Order: sequence, then structure tokens, then C-alpha cells
Amino acid sequence: MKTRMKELRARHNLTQAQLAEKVEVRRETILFLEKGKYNPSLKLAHDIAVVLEVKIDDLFIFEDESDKTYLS
Amino acid sequence: MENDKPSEKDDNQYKASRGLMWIGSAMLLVSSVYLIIWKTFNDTIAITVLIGAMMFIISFFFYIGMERPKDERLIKVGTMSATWSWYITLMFMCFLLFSGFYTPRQFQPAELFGLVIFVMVSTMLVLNTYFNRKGDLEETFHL
Repeated sequence: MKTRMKELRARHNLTQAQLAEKVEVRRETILFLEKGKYNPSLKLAHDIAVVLEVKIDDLFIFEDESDKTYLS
Repeated sequence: MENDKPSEKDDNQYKASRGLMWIGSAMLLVSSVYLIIWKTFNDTIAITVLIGAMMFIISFFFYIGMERPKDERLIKVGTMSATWSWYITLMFMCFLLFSGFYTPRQFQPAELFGLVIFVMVSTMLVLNTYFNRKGDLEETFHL
């Protein structure tokens, strides 16, 4: 999973600590999120998307989606 | 209504609980090694175990993120560490039971206590530190 969090956070002039405070998590969690090493809960993803004023889809990019098949 | 936003006070509380956890664990590990080697209790060791256990118990839920500040990653990592620690300790106790049953070696109660405390505390700390450094559990367990 890739994320545009760092870019969008910079656009909003927010530090990791400020974003962490707004979405009520620790700064380390934001750090791991930006590195793409942590998969957030839906609530946290939603909260971050609201703060950064984007849709969740625009915030997190899932790779290798073409390899997956879903039941219709 | 309670304000759930983590404050600087909460962050300091988390750091204090982490310190308390490490000191308590160190006391428990040192006393458990003593018990394993010398196989007997004395007043100093009993008090060290008691204080260490109190520190561990008080700071445990703060350390794994279940008390303020509630952080979902800390809870996730801490819960998995506690689960694995419990599981490994149970397996170790079963191993001790079998080894005591099928071999001539007899364990002293103080030695057994030391062994169980050592495995429980060390696995909890090592696993929590390991998972925390990884960032998440997905990479480790391919969830």
C-alpha cells in the first residue's frame, strides 16, 4: 500500500505531530502510515482523509489490484 | 463529555508508564534469574518480585495502549504481543510439566516460579518491541 499522506500533509502545512493530534493517535503511528508500514483502521483512514480534505481513495493507493479477483 | 484528544499530559503518562514497565520488568527478570540459579526465596528477592510485579501490573494497560492515549496501532501491537506471550508461556509450562514428569530432574517451586516469570516477562517485552519496530502486524503475519 502506498500513501500520499506526506504530500497532502505538507500541502496543509501540518507537522506529523499536529496531524497526529487532530486524528487522535501518536506521532509514531503517522510516521509508520507515511512509510506505508501500517494499515490503518477505516475510522483512522476516514479521519485523516477529512483532515486532509481528500477522499480515502485518493489518500491510499493499493498496488497489485489487477492480480486480485473478486466475486461478483 | 470526556475529551478523547491525546494531550501532552497523556504523552508524558505513556512515557512514564513505559519507563515503569521497563524498570518493573528488569526487577522481575533479575529476581527470576536469581530464583532459577539459587532455587530459593529470601526477603530481598520477595520484595523485588512484589515491587516489580506491581510496577508491571500498574503500567501494563498504558504500555499496550489500552489506556489514554488510546492509539490503535499500540493496541494492535500490544494485544498481539500479550497473546503470543501468554501462548508461549502456556506451552513452556506444558513443557516443564512433561519434563518434570518424564525425567528424573525435579524442579524446586522457587525455580519454577522464576522460570515462568522470566519467560512471561521477556517474551512480552521482546515481542512488543519487535512488533513496534515493524510498524504493523500485517507484514509479520501476512494478514
